[in-house]
Amino acid sequence: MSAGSGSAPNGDPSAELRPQSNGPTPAPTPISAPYWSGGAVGELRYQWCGGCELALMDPQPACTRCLTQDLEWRVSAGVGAVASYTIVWRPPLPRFEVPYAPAIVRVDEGFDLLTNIVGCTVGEVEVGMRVSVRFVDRGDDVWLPYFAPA
Amino acid sequence: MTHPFRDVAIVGVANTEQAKRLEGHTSFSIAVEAVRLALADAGLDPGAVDGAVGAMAGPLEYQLGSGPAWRGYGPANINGVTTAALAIGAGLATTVVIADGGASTYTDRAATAPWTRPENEFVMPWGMFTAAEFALIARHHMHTYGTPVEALATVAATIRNNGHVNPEAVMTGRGPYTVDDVLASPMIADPFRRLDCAINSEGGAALIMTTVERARDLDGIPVYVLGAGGDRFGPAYQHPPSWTMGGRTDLVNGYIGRRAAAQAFDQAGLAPDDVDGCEFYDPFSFEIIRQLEAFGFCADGEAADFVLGGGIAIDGPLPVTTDGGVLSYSHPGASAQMLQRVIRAVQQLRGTCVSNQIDGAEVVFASNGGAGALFCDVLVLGREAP
Repeated sequence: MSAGSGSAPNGDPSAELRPQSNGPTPAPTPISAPYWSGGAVGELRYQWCGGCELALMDPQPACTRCLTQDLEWRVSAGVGAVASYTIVWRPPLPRFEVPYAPAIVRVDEGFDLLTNIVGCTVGEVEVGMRVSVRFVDRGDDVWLPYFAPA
Repeated sequence: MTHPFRDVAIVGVANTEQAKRLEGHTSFSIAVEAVRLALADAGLDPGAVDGAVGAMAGPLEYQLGSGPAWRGYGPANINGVTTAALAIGAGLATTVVIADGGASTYTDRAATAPWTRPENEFVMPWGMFTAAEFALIARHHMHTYGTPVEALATVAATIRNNGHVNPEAVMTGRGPYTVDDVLASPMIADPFRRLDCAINSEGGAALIMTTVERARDLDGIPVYVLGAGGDRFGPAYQHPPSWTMGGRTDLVNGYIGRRAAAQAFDQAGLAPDDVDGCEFYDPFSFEIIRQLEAFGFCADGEAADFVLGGGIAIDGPLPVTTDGGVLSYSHPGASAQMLQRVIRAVQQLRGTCVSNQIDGAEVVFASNGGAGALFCDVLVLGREAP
């Protein structure tokens, strides 16, 4: 079993969490492209169903409650709280630098988002921690919405 | 209302040899070996088969010369067993084989096993894989109920010790394991350490179902589907695996499987107290704690204490995953290891386990999936026809 790249000892709480330098870049679809490109103008975008007053994430062709296709793209303030997290020390592929911190962030506008927490140490991540979005340009009009302590 | 599975019996089960590597085999060839063994176990001729379920159903139809055959689409797991039972009950098929295998598929050892890392735009950039998906579920429970890592480690040690004493387990003789051993193993995806996580291996598994009428002519002990159910919230490994994800009812993803278990117990006319043992699917240690609560064996937030008190040990009140499961017995790929939960339940009910036989088992509960994957399927199996 190989470790990913990265020099921190396994489980080290003082290890710094940073964006991946060589992680994979998602291939946007016509449905998701506005979400991935929003970072170019500093916007964390999400879909909104006005009829249901429901925020959708991740992007869908239609509302998950009423199935209307009449969805509006809105801009989030990009702030939320860590709902759950993990620290990965043995990654699925060697290209990932460990440690990194996959997390579910409950964004204030009312949707959950999968991301990685950066800008702090492993030991500082906790459930309920307030975080805000930090976009990382991955090229090809894709900006990854990482989150860091607010 | 008559019982939906009254006309159906499980009459044959088999696992091939399970090992880290089975030289000379493909996934299909090892599945075929499992089918041959399961037919022999049932005392049935290959010509009796007129239906198949699983990713290999097509090749198996050809291999067995069973056409014109009925085919059930979907994996060879609890869902597949349920599909086959429904088809037999409806008269679409008489004798159905449910089989799968894995060999020669995990070759790039710098990466985790292929089935652990689905690729789609929403999980790929974040380095998600199965351990991280299930860790996000575990963290919620630990935060909400104060569930200690020692409870997770107790699950891992208990099930791995079941594999340690099982001569057919891939990890046979590799223990015994203590809680401290688990807590000293390297961190993979916090809170999961290496010994909290499933192994990978190769092997085949097969199960044969037929009509009760045909089962009467066979020599073996038939096992009956007393109840079945399945809960899903969407595709696995795409959307955030939130504990609190809801749907059309008040059931949240964290307790996925609760509705399924209630349906299965209702069909069976039984309750958790009637169960002699549980063949829970154990991809990661915490999933056992979650399932104990989801299925009603423990109240919400109380499974950790039950586990720490020896509740799931082989000599405890509710033995769990008695062959070692995917933590220790085998994990050959996408679905064979899920079918192996059903096979082990059948072996317990027939009294044919090579290790950790539960004396006089009459009712065994089996599960597949977990909240990290947004699905959970269950079966209640028994020795008495429904």
